[in-house]
Amino acid sequence: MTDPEFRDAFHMHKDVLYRFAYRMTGSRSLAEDVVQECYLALWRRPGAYDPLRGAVRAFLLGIARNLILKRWRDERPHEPLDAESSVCQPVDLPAGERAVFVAQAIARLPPLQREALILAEYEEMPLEEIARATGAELAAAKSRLHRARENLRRLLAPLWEETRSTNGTKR
Amino acid sequence: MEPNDDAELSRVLREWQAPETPAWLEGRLMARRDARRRTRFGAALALAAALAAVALLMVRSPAPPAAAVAVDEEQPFVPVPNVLPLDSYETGRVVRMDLPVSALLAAGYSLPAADPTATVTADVLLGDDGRAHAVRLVSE
Repeated sequence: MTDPEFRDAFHMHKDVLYRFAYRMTGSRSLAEDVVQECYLALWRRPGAYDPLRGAVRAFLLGIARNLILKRWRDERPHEPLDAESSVCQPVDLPAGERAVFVAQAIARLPPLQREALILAEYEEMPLEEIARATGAELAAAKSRLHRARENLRRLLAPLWEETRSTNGTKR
Repeated sequence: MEPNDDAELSRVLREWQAPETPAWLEGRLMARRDARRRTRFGAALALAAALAAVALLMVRSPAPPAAAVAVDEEQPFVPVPNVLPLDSYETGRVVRMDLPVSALLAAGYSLPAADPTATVTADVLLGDDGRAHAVRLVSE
């Protein structure tokens, strides 16, 4: 890989990787590390990227998620990445901080649901690309996204209530 | 607001914005990449130099007798005297080569029973800077 190609790849995908890593980890410094490691991996082994298997973006996101999930497993060796029966309970609503509330709710999702949701909702990726990036079957990616949305509706219940009561007051 | 509505859920989720990618990230990444490139080049250069030195020594002292140093099947790496061990972040690399016993003696190893004119096969642990940090003798 030439230097210009490497720089092009950086400029083209750095923001997606950074946003994804930040939303997955909730940490700017971890996101910065993940982005750098992704590109160093690409630099070390450019041959690992196979254009026939999808876009560079999905390839880099795949590296990012592997790094993030490895850290997750190291920190929580007995916690499943995606419990099928996982039902997230509503979190307490911090005063006036809806964005923080949303961030907390997403952080409570099991990692495999969280990554599917982040890629779909924030990066607007189609299911096929999400499946490629996460190394999952299309049906599995769809199922994770569905369960993530179901969980978020539960997690964000206080937000609905707050909005409902605000609207009621206004009326 | 209906929580069962995907569009409404999406709207609420977008209240959480991710920060911008820091501008300094590119500079740091390129610096790390260049450092790795230099390290690779340096290690290759050091290895080539070491091999050239060994080859030169072998030409000057042809056909030395077999190694007089007794070795075990599972020899440990012995740190090169007066050289700091590898740092935790260094990956290092191991290179197998034939070394003159005299070079080991000169490096500070104590080999009382060894024939100084002999050569031995050894695994040499090179740091990321290309310097030898430890040596393990190999059984023939």
